[in-house]
Amino acid sequence: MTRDLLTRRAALLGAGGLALSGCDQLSQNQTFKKLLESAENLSLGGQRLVLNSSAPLAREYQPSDISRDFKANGTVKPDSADYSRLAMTQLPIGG
Amino acid sequence: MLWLMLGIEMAVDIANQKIAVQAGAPAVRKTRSGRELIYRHTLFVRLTHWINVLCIALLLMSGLQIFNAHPMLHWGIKGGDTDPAVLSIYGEDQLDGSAIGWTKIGGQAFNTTGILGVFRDRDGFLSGRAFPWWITIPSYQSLAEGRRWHFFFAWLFALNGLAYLIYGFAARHFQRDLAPTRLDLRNIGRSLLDHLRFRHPRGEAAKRYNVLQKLAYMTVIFVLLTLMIFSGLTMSPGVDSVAPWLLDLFGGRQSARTIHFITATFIVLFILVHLVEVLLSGVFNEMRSILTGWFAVKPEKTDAH
Repeated sequence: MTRDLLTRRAALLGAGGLALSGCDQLSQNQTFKKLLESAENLSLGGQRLVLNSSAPLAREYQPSDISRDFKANGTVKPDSADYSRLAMTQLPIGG
Repeated sequence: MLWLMLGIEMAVDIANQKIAVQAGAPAVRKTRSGRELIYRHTLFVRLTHWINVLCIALLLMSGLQIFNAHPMLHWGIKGGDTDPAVLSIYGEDQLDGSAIGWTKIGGQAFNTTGILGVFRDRDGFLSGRAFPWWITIPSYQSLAEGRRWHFFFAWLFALNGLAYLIYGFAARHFQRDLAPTRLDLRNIGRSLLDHLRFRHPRGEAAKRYNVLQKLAYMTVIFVLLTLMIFSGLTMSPGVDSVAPWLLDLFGGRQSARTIHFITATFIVLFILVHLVEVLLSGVFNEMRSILTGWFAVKPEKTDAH
């Protein structure tokens, strides 16, 4: 009896794992990525529609409302080649 | 194309409904064993239900992925790492090389090692993230990919919900099947007792939703899911500049994020109860009715036997 339950549990876990790795594979699949990204056009279009030039600006806050530690998403020091090349670039500041 | 098909189906359903109403009797069939089958769920309701299943499952899992990028919930407008949090999930390294996963709610920290904060990854390595790999999409840490899944299925969910709302009112599904009647509300105590005794209605009563079902569905549709959409929109800075009242309504973008999370928890609770009820009242019959529309009515118990 216990053995049966264990196999059923293992089967369920296995099925769940397969479904999950399916989602991971879909995340990497170029066609599926394009499909997911297509919703960004809806977001963009939707925002353009309501955020026209007469729309009010974002609400303003007091300096005291700023968090002491402002979190950077991901990393403050990306390790890509492009980033290090651009980080080394010095732009002249002219008058 | 899908929307066109749904539109046609909707028109057909409405027309059928009118015919049924004019004829004065709902669609009824008999099974081979003589049980009464009623047409409970229209194709439109079945389709929107299953699209919803897909959307809510993926929204929950990609939502937890997004939560993991900043595994804290705040109240008000401030949401930095050092700002007070109503909930936070974090890992704490120990001197012996192990780690403890903590879930802190208010001032109280709970050891949730193995599930939240610290857990073994698919490969068996200790991982220090809030929600574990088996419940997030993708299974690895990626805010960008999580957002892509979330927003795609948020649009699908919203459009599906809108179509359902229009249908629900136009085909009088809400008014006829889901709005509790005065008699329902008067007998709410009895329905509550029946539920506690796991007694399910038979005969005529089984052809309608009972009052607790009606109230649960109405609450989910008009309170929880609506709250989900608006608290979600409040997290968009663009939407906030057009509708600053959303910030006032929720008390800040961080409060909106917290309400989004709490409401999602209530939706999960509803789904659990919903699934338990399906198990208790007959999986085969319930699955047939949400797949084909046809629901078998258990006959009234007779004392003759």
